[in-house]
Amino acid sequence: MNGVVYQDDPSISAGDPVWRRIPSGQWTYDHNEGRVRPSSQNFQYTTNKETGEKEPVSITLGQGLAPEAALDGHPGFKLVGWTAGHLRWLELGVCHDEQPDAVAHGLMFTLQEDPPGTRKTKISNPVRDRLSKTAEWVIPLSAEEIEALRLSTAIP
Amino acid sequence: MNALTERDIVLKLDRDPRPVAIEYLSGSSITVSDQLPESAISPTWLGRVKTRLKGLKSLPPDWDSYGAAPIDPGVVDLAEKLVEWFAVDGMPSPDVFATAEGGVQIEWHIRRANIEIAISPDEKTPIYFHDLNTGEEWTKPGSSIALQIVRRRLLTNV
Repeated sequence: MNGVVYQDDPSISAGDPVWRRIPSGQWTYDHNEGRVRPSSQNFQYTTNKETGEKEPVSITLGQGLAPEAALDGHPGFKLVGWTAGHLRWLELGVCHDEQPDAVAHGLMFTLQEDPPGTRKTKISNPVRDRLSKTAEWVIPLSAEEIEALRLSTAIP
Repeated sequence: MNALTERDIVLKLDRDPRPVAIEYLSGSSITVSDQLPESAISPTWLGRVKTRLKGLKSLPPDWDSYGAAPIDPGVVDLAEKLVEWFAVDGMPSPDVFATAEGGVQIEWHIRRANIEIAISPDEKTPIYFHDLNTGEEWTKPGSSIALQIVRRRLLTNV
């Protein structure tokens, strides 16, 4: 992160939608919950190849935006989302991060510290599990896709 | 039993050329045992999962549209060995996913448990375990004991 400590942006209201694109196949059927969930790996920091620094999770800030706009140019992708308030409840922050080639681009990052005073550079497994479990499908799989997914991991 | 270091494994293998149980798991190293007599590989899901793993090798750079790395073929091979180790009678099917760092994540969300094993090229292999019945939840480095715990739990139909 080049030493950057990202700050949660209070101008993003608690009820504002926050979206993340999910590539084809990066979801599974949760037999405990009876629903499809995106793999938690979709919600982890990545390493900048040039600097080696960890970078927060890219998101789309969906307030005033049609969901389809977030998937423009990404066939086969689906879209999940939460409210900014829910993310803050999970000790995550959100902020704007304008990018020339991405509409309403933002970042999602952990607010957890370890040790105290030092921001973590990854989202913990329990938090990613909650992100996955509570993600709402803004642009969902079809009923047929869901059933095929359920059967692929069901116990015979 | 504590998790062994790579040096421990090398020493162990030097002394004993026979296959041993999984004692260490990382992005570049895994040792798997022969299956137990009553647990021959038989799940019908194994072929599907192996096919899916092979498919991960062909993912192009930026496959997630957020700059993800291509998947390390060596990590896929390790994941395949690990999946085979889990492929015993009564084991529910895992799902396997590419990770943005070029690794593979294996997941189960069934039998009141959520389990994730992330094999990454940088050698870190955390195992996440959450038992929804008891509330027990932890993340541990890949080790024999952690793998045995999750396999035993997945075979428990509760």
